Order: sequence, then structure tokens, then C-alpha cells
Amino acid sequence: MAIQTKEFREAARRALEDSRLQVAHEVVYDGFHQRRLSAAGDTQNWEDERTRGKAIKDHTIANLDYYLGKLADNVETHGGNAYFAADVHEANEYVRSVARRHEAKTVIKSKSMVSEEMGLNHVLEADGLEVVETDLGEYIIQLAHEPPYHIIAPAVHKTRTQVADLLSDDGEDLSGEDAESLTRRAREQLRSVFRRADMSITGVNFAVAETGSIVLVTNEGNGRMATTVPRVHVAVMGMEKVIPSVADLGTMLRILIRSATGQRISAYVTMVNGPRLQEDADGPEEFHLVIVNNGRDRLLRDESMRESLNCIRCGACMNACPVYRKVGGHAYGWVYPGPIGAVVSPVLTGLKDGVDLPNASTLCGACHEACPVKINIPRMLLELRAKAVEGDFDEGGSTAGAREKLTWKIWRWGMSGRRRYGVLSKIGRVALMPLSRRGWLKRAPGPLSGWTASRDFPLPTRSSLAKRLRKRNKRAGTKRNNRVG
Amino acid sequence: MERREFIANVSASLGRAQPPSKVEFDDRYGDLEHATRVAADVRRDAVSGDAELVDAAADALATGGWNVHRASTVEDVGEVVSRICAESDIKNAVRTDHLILNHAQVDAVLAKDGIECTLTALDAAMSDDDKQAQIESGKQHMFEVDAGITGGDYVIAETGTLVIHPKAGVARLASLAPPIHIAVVHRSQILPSLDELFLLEHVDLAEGKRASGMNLISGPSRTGDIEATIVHGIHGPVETHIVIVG
Repeated sequence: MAIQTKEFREAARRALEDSRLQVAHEVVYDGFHQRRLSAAGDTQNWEDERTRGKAIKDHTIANLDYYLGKLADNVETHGGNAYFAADVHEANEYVRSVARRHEAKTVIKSKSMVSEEMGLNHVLEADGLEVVETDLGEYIIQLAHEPPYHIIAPAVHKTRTQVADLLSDDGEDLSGEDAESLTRRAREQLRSVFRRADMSITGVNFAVAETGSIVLVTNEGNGRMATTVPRVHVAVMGMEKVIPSVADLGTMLRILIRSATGQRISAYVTMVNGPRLQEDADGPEEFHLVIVNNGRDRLLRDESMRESLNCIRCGACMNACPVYRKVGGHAYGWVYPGPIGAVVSPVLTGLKDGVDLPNASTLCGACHEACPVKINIPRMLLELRAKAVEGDFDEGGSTAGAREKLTWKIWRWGMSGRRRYGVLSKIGRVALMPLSRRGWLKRAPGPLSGWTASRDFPLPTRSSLAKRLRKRNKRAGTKRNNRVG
Repeated sequence: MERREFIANVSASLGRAQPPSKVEFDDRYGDLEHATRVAADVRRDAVSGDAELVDAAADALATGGWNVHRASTVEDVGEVVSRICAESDIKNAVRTDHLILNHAQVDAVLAKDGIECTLTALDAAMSDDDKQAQIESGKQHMFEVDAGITGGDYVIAETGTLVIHPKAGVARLASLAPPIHIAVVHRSQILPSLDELFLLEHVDLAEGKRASGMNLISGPSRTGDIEATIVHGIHGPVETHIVIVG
């Protein structure tokens, strides 16, 4: 997928000005958020489950080399093929080679975020293959030639009328049809695709090292179709998706599904242990698991960022985020939007272009609170802001200009001594006084102009807090030590 | 990329020369021997068919969108299934190989109602090519019939979930392609929660009792992708029934 993290401000502005989108955001994200809250409330030992989930992920990521080896061993012992791809190019080439070997014509896809990283659809289409997304939301945005808007609800920004236009194949007017009859229509269109599909590509929600299994979570049943109908099944996963044992799945599924949609369980959970057995009544003859790095080792190497690999892609942080709920999914400019996207996208695609992402946060902590595996996203956002300024992260160097650096140098110097601070605020007061009205500035000069573009700035007060405290204590006759801070 | 090289890079990112040969983790059920003992207890509890658990499961199944039916004995199953077929206007069906369905002679009962019901099984003596051809024609057939009738391996009371392992005589498509799914399970197959299910699966897989997969089914197929309106039956069944026997 093309990286457009640089366009964040412009894309965010467009979303903010779209009043229809703003209403959709409010309804859908808040709906998800409220359902998650009530699901968590209804779950016995919810906090213990989160703690357990975090422990499982912490342990697996800390031993990722061990578990990836074990996973690949077990996939191959049971008749599957495991392939390791350093980057999206290698992953794409592998999938292409499988398709070519089987002379595949129609490929069905069940939701996979990694395949969005890979831009896999375009690669296969360039080879003349018919590639069809089968998750209804993904199917809709594929017809619209757009990337997913939300990782759980990819077409949440489309209205029913827009969907009707996209589903109409010969100019027929479907604008009067409701969601149910449009869904029926999509069912018929996709059924004929399922019946002729000869290869499938799915994502992976969890891969189990001890058994070489993968687990898919869907509500529609497309994950089941993809693991049943075609002769060849290829699953692609980011290398962080592995967990140690089948016995961990109860906890992991519970926290994933309840955080994603607020359901107790999704309509389908599909576990694949390999290709069909000789005597099985149906199922794919071949199973391939493609394990993708694509920059994740950068998150692993940096201990301050490693925790981001615990993410199970539930979307709870997005639905909880006051910024995401306004600017929406496309503004973030890459596969992973929202708070966790603001952490991983800049690292995977380059901090220099993606520097606006970690800054697009109020650090309110809602994402940390919502995360089923307790990822401390605000801490990492701060970390990235610092890295961006210090310029020690990628070859892009520091994102801060000389003037910005000088400003902050002066600021730091001024803030780190009480007398200095007092003197500087006095100077500031005198200098800004002519521009102010009733103690506030509507438009300030220089570096402060950014601030006053969207809110007023207070004039420094006549007397400092320390001074006022001294005065007050004297009046009250207390002898208390009145040092502040 | 070579697997060795890929994993060496992951090790290096973790600050070590190679993967550890063994790692310690507080496994929920301890070693396999202990897990096997706990699993045996779980199976014994299930067989007792605790009435409260059966009711809890029935409630959870209904909440998840299943139409729940009860049959007091295996002999009654045919009648219950026949009634469901009549109410839903089912003309033809496929069914999987399952002890209860076989014993209840579901095919014969439905034949009396004029409903053709075929078994989803491969002839073991066939050549691979013939098998592939039969899988293909069976697939097209399952996209055309009105209903799929299946057994099940477990029911999860916590979530209202039917669990089916695909195997000989049990086509995955039978519970997926037809618009109506009718499942028949016995009360002794009910487990309290997902944790018990995955414990049993953990033990079975370690002992080499390995199916090619496992499907957890919790009601009809659903989507909310058009204006967040929940609609049933986007890819899988629109209507799901479950008969609890005993």
C-alpha cells in the first residue's frame, strides 16, 4: 500500500470538514466503544484475562525466535509449507509462485491487514488473476478502489446509497434497497466466486507454535469459505502473531473478540491444523503459511517500542481515541490507523514522513485503558516524539528545524531556574501586553502563532504563584514553608 | 528468505546469538501429564450432563441466534428434525456422518416426508483423481441444497458455540454453504467454557489425535458492514437450529 503518512494534516482536515463522515464516526466508533465496555463489564475476571493476555504476549515476543522456529517446524511436520519473508517483496513473490504453480485463476481473500501492507491484490491482478475480497466491507471498498477505513469495519464510511451504486453491476438502480437486500445481493455475487475459486489468501489472528495451527476470527463465514472451498490455501501473517499453546486460545479469543466488537464470541472461529487429511470429506489440499517481517524487527530491536508487537489488532484503541474518532481511518495514511497505527506506522514506514502521527494525540490515555493486552501507547507516542526531534531513529535525521531547536533550548534554559523563569515571564508580559486584550492574546507573533491559530493564549500574570503564596501565607500568619513545586 | 537467516535476525534483534533451546513459561495446565489429568476431569464432568449447565448452554445458544430444540431421547431426534424441516420448507438436504444422526435414521425419516438427504462422505476405496472429482461435485451440490444437517463434537456453554472437527464423513461445507443449518448434539457434549475446549484440544493434539482443523460456530453468519446494520446470512447460513438430546 502506498505510504501517505506525510499527508496526515491535509487528510485529517478533509475528514473534519465532511459533516456526513463526522456523524458516521460518532455513531459507529461510539457504538463499538460502548459495546466493548459492556462486554468487559459482563466478563468475569476481565482484568485477570487482560493481565494473562499481556503475559502471554510479553513472553512470546521476548522469545519470538524460539516460537517462530517451533511454529514453522510444526506446520511442516503436518504437511503444510512455512515460508519466511523478510519484506513485502519476498512475500508477494512467494504467493505469486504458488499461484503460478497451480495455474490459479480466481483467488478469494479473507481479511488480511498484512496483505494490505504487501499490496498483494495489485501484484496478483497484474499477473492476470481475478482477486476478490470476500469480507463484505472489504468487498465494498475493493469495488470503490479504496483502502480499508477501519480494521474491523473497513467500509464504515460508505453510506447505503454509495454501497448500492457499487453493488449494481449493470447500471440498475438499487438506491431504494435496504441493508438486508443489499447484503443478499452481495451474497449471490460472492457465492458464484466461491464456487469457482481455486486459491484463497487469508490473514491470521493467532498462530499456535506448539501445533502449527492458525486461527481465524470472522462473523461472516468468509474465513470458513476460504479454508474450505479452494484447493490451495495461503495464510499470511506478521511475525508477531504467534502464541505458544492451544491452551492460551481461550484467553486470547476472549480478549480479542470482546474488545473488537463487544460480542462474547464471533459467529465463526476457524482453526486450521494443516491441509485436509486423506480421508477428509473436503478442504484444501495444500496449506502455506507466509511469515512476514517487513520492518517489525525495528520494533523488536528497540526495547522502548517492543511492546507494540503485543498488538492483536482488535481496534479498541481506535474506537476509544478522541482524535481517531474525529479524523477517521484514512487520515493516518497507511495500513494501521489510530493510536497503535501512530506507533507502528512511523517505525515501519519511516519516522521522518510520519512524524505528525505520534503528535496527533492528546495523550489522554484512553487507548492504554482500552487495550486488551495493556499496551502503553501514550508512552510510545512520547518516545517517538522525542526520537523525531533527536533524530536518532532512522536515516531521515531530526525532523525539527534549527529554529525549533533554538526555541526549545531557550525554553529549557528559561524553565530550569526559578529566577530565570520569573524574569522571562516579566519580559514576556511586557512584550505581549500591547497585543493583548483583557489578559488574553487572540493572535500572537512568532512561534506562538501556531498556538493562537486555534485557541487564545493567556498573558503572563503580573505576579508569580510563588509570590502570591508568600503574600497569602503572610496574611494568614502561617509560618509554613511556602516553597512551591 | 532462508528460514535460518530470518530467525537469526530475530535473535539478533532480541540481543542474542541464537534462539534458546528451551523456554520456561507458566503454562496454565503445567506439563502434559498434569494437563491430561485435568482434561480427564473435564470429560468426566461433561458426561454427567449437569442440568444447570445444559440450561446455561441453551440460553447462551439462543442469545447467539440459534433456534434451540430439545429431544428427550435419540429416538425422538428424527421427529424433531422432521418438524424443523417442515417449518422451514426444506426440500432437500445434506448430512454428515454422526452417531446420533445414524442411530436416529434421519435419512429414512426425512425420506418419508419426501426430503432427499445425502451423506457427505467419500468412498475410501477411490483413486485420488476420483476423490477430487467427487469433492468438486459434492461442493457444487452443497451450494444448492436447502439445508445441512450435522452432528457436533462439543457445545460451549459460555459462548453458545457448536464445535465441529472436519473429518471423514464430515464435510466442512455442510454447516456452511446451505442457507439452513440443523445441528444435533447430546447433553454430555457440553463444556462450561472455551478454556475447557482448548485444554482438551491441547491434550488431543499433543497425543496425536489430530483433525485437519476445528470450527467454532456461534449462530448464523452475520455482517454489520452496511451502515452498521446487523444482517444474517452473508456467506454462511441465514438460519441455524440446534437439537440438544437427553
